[in-house]
This record gives sequence, C-alpha cells and structure tokens, in this order.
Amino acid sequence: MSVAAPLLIGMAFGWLLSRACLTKYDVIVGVYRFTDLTVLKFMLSALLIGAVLIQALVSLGLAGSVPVAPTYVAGNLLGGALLGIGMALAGFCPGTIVGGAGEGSLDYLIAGVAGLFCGALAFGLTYPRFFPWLVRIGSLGHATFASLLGAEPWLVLLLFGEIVLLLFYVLERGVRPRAGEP
Amino acid sequence: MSVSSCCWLPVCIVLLLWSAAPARAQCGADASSCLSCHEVQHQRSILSDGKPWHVDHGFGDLCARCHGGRPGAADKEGAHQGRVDPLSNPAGICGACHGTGAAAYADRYARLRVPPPKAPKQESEPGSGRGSGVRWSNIALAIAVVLLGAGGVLFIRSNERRRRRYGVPSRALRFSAYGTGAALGGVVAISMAVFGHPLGASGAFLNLAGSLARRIAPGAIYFRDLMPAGMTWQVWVVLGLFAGALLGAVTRHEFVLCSLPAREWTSAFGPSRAKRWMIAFLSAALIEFAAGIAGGCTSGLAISGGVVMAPGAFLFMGAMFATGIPTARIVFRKSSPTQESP
Repeated sequence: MSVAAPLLIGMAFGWLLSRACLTKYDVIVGVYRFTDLTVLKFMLSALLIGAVLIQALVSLGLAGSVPVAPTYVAGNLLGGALLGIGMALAGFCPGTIVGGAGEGSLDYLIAGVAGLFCGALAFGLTYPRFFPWLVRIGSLGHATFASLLGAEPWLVLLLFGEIVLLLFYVLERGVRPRAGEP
Repeated sequence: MSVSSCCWLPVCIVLLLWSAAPARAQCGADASSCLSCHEVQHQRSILSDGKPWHVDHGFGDLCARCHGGRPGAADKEGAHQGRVDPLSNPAGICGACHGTGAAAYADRYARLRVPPPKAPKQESEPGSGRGSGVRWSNIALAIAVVLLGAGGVLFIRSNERRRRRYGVPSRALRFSAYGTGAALGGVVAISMAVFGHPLGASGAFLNLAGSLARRIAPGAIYFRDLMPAGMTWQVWVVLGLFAGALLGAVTRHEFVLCSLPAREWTSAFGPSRAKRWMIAFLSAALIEFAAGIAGGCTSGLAISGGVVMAPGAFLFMGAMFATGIPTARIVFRKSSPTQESP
C-alpha cells in the first residue's frame, strides 16, 4: 500500500480543518450554542459538494466501488448521542483532536489522544458483550436513501441540495426581517 | 494567507490523483469485496435474508471466515474461487472463533438449514435506481423538488424585498466555512470514489489500540479478527491530518503551544488546567467509544456516510445535536452570553 495517498489526503483534511478553525474549542461548542455556525456550514458544504462529486463519478463510470456506511438505527443513534455529549463538553471530535494537536494544543495532543486510545481499547475489549446484538437492532445494511425509496439517486441529491442551499440562505440572510433588525 | 500556502493544496491533489490505483471490486485493504458486490451494489443481498447464521454473523466483514473465497479479488469469478460449505468443517471454521463450542453451533445451524434455492438471475433490484422508470418514489421526490424549489424561490424573493424595504444591511459573507467545507467535500470524494476509503479519524485509533491489545489481551476477538492492527490506511491519514494542521497553523502564524482553550472554556469551567485535561481525557474516551458504537465519527460516519446518503449518517448527526445542544446549555448556564459570531 502506497502511503503517499493517505498521507496527502490526511494533510488536506487537517489543513482544511485548521483553516476553518474547527480545531478550536469555541467554534465546536459554538454550534451547540447557536453562537457560531461554522461547523454546520462546513459540514453541509462538504456533504453537498462531496455527494454531487461522488454521484457524478459513479454516473460517469469513473468511480471504483464506493463504500456505504452501514445503517443500524440503535447503534447510529446511541453512538451519536454519546458523541454529542463528549463533543459539547470538550469541544472536539477525533479528527479535530488530531488537528488541534498539530496546532500546538497540548491538551488535545496529550489528554485528547490518550483518551481516544483508551476509548478505543475499551470499545474493542467490551465489543463481544454488546455489539453483536446492538448492531442487529434496526439494521438496514448498506442502505442509501435512494435504495430505500427505490428512487433515482440524482433526485435525492437534488432535494438534498435544495434543502441545504435554502438553509444556507436563511443562515446568511435571516427570515422575515423587521425594520431596524440586522 | 500567503500564495505559497494555498498553492501546495492543488499540487497535492494532482500528485494524489496521479498515484491513484482506483479500487474496483474491493473497497480497500480492510473491506471485503463480498459486501461491496452483494450488499452495496445489491447483487443478491444476503445479509437481510433473515437466516439465523447471517443474523448472528452479519456485522463486520466475516463472510470469508465461513464461506472462504477470496474477498480481495477484483471480479466475481476470482472472489468466488475457493468457497467452501460453511458447515463442512466446524472445528476449523467455527472453531477459529468459537473454540470448543464449535460443534454445537454447527449442529444447530445444520438442523435449521434447508436446501438453498437456485441462485436467482441478476434481478433488477428495486433499490438500484437503474431502469426504475416511473416509480411512485421518483414521482414523489420530483414533486417535492419542484415544490421546494418554487417555494424556496418565492420565499427568497419576498425575503429580499423585505430586506430592501427595511434597509437591512447585508452582513459580509465569510467564505471560509463554506469554501473549506466544499474543498473537504472534494477530498472526501477522492478518498471514497478513487481509493475506496471513507475519510475518518476514529478508525485509526482502533487500529493503534489493536497493536497494544494483541499483546495484552490476545484473546480479544475484536482486535484479533475484526479490526486490523498497526499502520493501516486510516492511521496514515491521521498522521497526515496532524501534519496538515501543523503546516496550516505555521503558515498562518497561528501555531501556539498551549494547554487550555482560550476564552470560552475558562468562562464555564474556570482556569484549572488539571480540570481541562481530565475532562478532555474522559470526553475523548467517550467520543471514541461512541464512534465505535455508531460505526464512525463526524468525519468517518457523518460526512463519509452522508455523502453517499446513508440514513445512518443522518441519524447519527441528529442524535449528536440532540444531546450536544442540551449539554452545552447545561455547561454554559451560568456564563454570560457570548458575542454572536457568524
């Protein structure tokens, strides 16, 4: 396996996270407080552009086999809930821990990375006790919205794009301004 | 930001694409091509067939452990070579994970097994979207697209009129969140469509923990059989992440050694470094554990799953905000509100 590709991909990832200030506590916590919506804008932009590019590559026959994350409702919800708590408390997530470490934040580099390592160990060691039955609850396999609905993937993307762009408009321009309001 | 610091990003992208060996049937070193053809491409979906052995073993990439074959092969004939009857050798096949209880498990399945149906022809799967023609779901989506589009345009026009009428000043558009996000979308697309890997960070720590676990807990099935250990693709991505953030901070003259976040943290938690490090450690452990449960983190599941419109990614994001918002409220309930920043 050539390490050039993952290294370069990772470097681009880290550079972008740093550029967008997502490696900062204030910015991450800000989205949960509605005071700084950078995270939302960043993630939705990534989703929209990434989805369109991938679907375009697939439709043009230029893509290899694209991995689809498995959907298992209980695990997705429970994992998301727990991750949200940790993220709002400490103001980071695994990627931004590594990114923040690269920017000189020693709490990220030492406490954060050590915590990730211990959490990983704990997960793997307790895995057989709970994961096999958890993953079966609401398991839809490698479903996509298009496959679940039996619909054309581009239509799903079009609807998604409209929702995201409308949301961006509302975030930037507000809704129903009254006189004197910014 | 200097010209030189933005120029190396497109240079890297070019180098990257030049070095690409696109994944075909297999998803990459740590994913089975069994799943990619059977499940992702919906060619004879197996895992939802309800058979008890698939229900029990449908997680992870365990296909080859029971069925044999060559998951890394690039085509169907190659992948199917060397398949075995899963019940032909309980001690060897089941016993590899289940040890001495293997014969009992194999017996139970043998009693439940009925002769397999003839393999169906390549049916046009309802989920493929190919040749779907006029389906109710396409019609419903098309109607939704048109309604939302028309409604959205009308809303924007009326909103803009109101803004003009009331002389509402425009805020300068800060591009960096949208621009960097869009660029990340490009990076994710390359990682997934060209190299067949989701872009995530949490997996790397499971790989690294695996290296330790194999020494201290060699019986742990997860690290022994399910999650590769050591320097995987994901680990190299994380190393690159570190380097990229370092490079970005240094070129923007923002690299600062510090052990506490500036500003908001101290207003809620006080100035204690020990407190910050303890909470950071415990939160990181919780986050990684949670990522394991969910099947990825904000990049590995939310973004990499979201770009292929996997429902699980959106469920995950919804849950993240559902708990993150109240958590932040509780944390900051005594602090004064911050100045709003866009």
